[in-house]
Amino acid sequence: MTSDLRASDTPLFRFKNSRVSLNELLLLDYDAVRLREDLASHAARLPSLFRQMPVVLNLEQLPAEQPVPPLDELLAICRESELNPIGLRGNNRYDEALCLSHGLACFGASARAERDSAEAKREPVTQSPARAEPGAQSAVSETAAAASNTKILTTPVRSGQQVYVPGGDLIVLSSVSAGAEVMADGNIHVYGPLRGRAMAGVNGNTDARIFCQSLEAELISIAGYFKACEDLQSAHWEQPAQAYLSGTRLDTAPL
Amino acid sequence: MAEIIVVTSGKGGVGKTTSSAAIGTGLALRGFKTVLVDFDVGLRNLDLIMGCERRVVFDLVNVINEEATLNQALIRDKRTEGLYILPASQTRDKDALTQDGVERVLNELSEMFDYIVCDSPAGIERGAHMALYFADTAIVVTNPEVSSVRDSDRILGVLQSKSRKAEQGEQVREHLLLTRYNPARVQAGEMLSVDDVRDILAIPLLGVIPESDAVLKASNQGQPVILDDQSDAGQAYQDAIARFLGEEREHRFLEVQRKGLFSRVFGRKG
Ligand SMILES: Nc1ncnc2c1ncn2[C@@H]1O[C@H](COP(=O)(O)OP(=O)(O)OP(=O)(O)O)[C@@H](O)[C@H]1O
Ligand SMILES: [Mg+2]
Repeated sequence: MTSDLRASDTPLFRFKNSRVSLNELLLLDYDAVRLREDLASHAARLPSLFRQMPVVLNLEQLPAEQPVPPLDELLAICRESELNPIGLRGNNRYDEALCLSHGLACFGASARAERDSAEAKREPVTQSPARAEPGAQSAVSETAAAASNTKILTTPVRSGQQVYVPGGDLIVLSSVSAGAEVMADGNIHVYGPLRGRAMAGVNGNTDARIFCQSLEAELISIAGYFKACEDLQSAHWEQPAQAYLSGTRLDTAPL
Repeated sequence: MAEIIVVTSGKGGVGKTTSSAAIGTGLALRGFKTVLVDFDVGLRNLDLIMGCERRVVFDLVNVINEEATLNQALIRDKRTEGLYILPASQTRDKDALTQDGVERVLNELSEMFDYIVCDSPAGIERGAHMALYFADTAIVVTNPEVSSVRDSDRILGVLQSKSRKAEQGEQVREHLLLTRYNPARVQAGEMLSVDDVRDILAIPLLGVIPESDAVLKASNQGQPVILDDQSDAGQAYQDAIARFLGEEREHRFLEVQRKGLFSRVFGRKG
């Protein structure tokens, strides 16, 4: 039966267009010791879903005068922190053959390279440069990108489940249980009680917000800035509320 | 084609086996040909609660390994017409449950019975996963305490993502069975109330089984508590069966009961 299906003229594969959203590790400066420490502490804070997260190493913003980081060392540091580097951007610094011999894909220069450099200095590692001024070009394109990949869930997100929406918003029409984890590169809306963990703007979008019908969360975080349950049990606890960043402070407000 | 029901919880010791025995017996009493399958390989206590431990010759793992036929392994219940038990092995571990093997056994049972009631082991590991994988319906047994509710929530997530129904894009039917409910302790704030649990789990409530001495008494006698129709727990399980079959029943035993004959008579009327 199966062998019939596999007649010699049936194709064994086809290429499928897929829009995988990838995170970049944007290196702003290189110091092996500090990078190792910072990545490790960052990895410890991130949810387990990000273990072995594929990343593109972006070297476009390393100071030009600096020597190129040794590729072996850089890859080893990433892998120690459970990142899975799959490619390089800004790789005119490395020989293409060297990249390929390390199993890395070569990505071209990014269109955002120019704009990024201005913002980059303040940006923590692994967070993409979305911290543009309101109204700036990048903020607009970020919103458009977010709208294109919205995910809507109609049933509760249960304890032990993880949901991540790369490059978009997450809308939960039900509850998020204690012990569940919801994440999005964009905003998170929960039209029921939010009892688990919610992380918006996980790729570094500081404009992302979290909205919920009843704030009972174990933890909420925007672009890596977080507040745990203890600090959330204030005025808006068990109330309809939203969370957003004011500078580096995570604030909550009634809806 | 039988309906496959899994009785599951995540947390251990909440009353899965007690409930499986009661539900299987209750369905058989209503005239449905029913088989109780013990998935708790390695522990095996469904047969104790059903009082047939001395009649176990072959078990589920024997059938999976084709060391015995189903007919050799099935034990006919002596009290309840149309009820059979497929016991678990005490000497194997849960790795003996292969997915193909379980599917084959369930398919074969499916031709013979109306209901297949699977008593799941605790946890969310292999044994529990095998017990729930093929389920059409899940009865999630929960005690009114935070850790149990959390584990039930987790099992509901597993049902929604890792069951065969889920893989086929369908949904496992979900019921909540709240057991060991102690209204006095709820009133004292030591336990979650029915409403608290319903609010967190947000699935239909099949029944509330009170904490009851009758359960221990019944299991010592090797007799499912649902047969004790004088007892509060027995009646509560009967109500749950009625609701399972689509009848409307009001929830009882939710309030603190006064002791004594009067309240028992009154309680039975409800
Ligand atoms: N409604 C009840 N009232 C009082 N005791 C109960 C009740 N339900 C169950 N029990 C007791 O709780 C204990 C555990 O019950 P049971 O074996 O049915 O749980 P289980 O969930 O199957 O446990 P395991 O996870 O170990 O398989 C038993 O001693 C049983 O007698
Ligand atoms: Mg049990």
